[in-house]
Amino acid sequence: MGEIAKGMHVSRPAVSQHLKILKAARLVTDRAEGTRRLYAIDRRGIAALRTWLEGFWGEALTAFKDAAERETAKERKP
Amino acid sequence: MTKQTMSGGTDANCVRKVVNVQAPPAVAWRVFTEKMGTWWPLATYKIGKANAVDAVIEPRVGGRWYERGDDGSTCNWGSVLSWEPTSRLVLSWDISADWQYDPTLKTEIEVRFIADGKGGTRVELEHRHLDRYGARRDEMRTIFDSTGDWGRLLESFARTAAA
Repeated sequence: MGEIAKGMHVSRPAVSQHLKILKAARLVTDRAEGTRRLYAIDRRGIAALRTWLEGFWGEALTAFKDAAERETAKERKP
Repeated sequence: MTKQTMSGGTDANCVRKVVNVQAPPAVAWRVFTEKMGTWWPLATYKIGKANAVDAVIEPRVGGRWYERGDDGSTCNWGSVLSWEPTSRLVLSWDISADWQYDPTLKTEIEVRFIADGKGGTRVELEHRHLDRYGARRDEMRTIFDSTGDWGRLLESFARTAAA
């Protein structure tokens, strides 16, 4: 936390407040190491989004493939 | 976007999909852009109140991408960022966490149509800048975790993936 505050022109309590908000939004995770508190990017939120989109695009592209193949078969007919 | 990044390692902020289509690039392009309403799963993936009957991409840079309802209403999904028939299409997808159109939220979908040399087309899709969902990802997760329509869809995806 101290390292983050050092690089910014804002007070330490202000940085602490911002990190609290990011943590509540599950954008960062934190853990204590001795007297220090370490922050890391929380990847769980984006992972759920990716899982959902993987499924969505998989379904949509399969339907697209079928439609394109039907279309080309139709055009090949005399 | 370069070819290298398209095939590059995993990027948590994007989703990539490839599908091989037994149709030439010109047909694949046309079906994707002009006939999206014939294959897009409109019954489940739409944002308007009306029943969606078509999905439309206006064929030019800056064109709208929208759904049309059976009552004649339209709902924007995004816009055309690159229009390069019949090889490359980039769309913005401006659908928010609560499944509403939000023009300030710009995620990107790039689609490439590559001739496979055997009369078919390799279609590569990349949905990127997912980090732009930012703090709202948490709402997305709530939607995914719910036992409503989205939750059921997720379950069916999981079953299909596991099959």
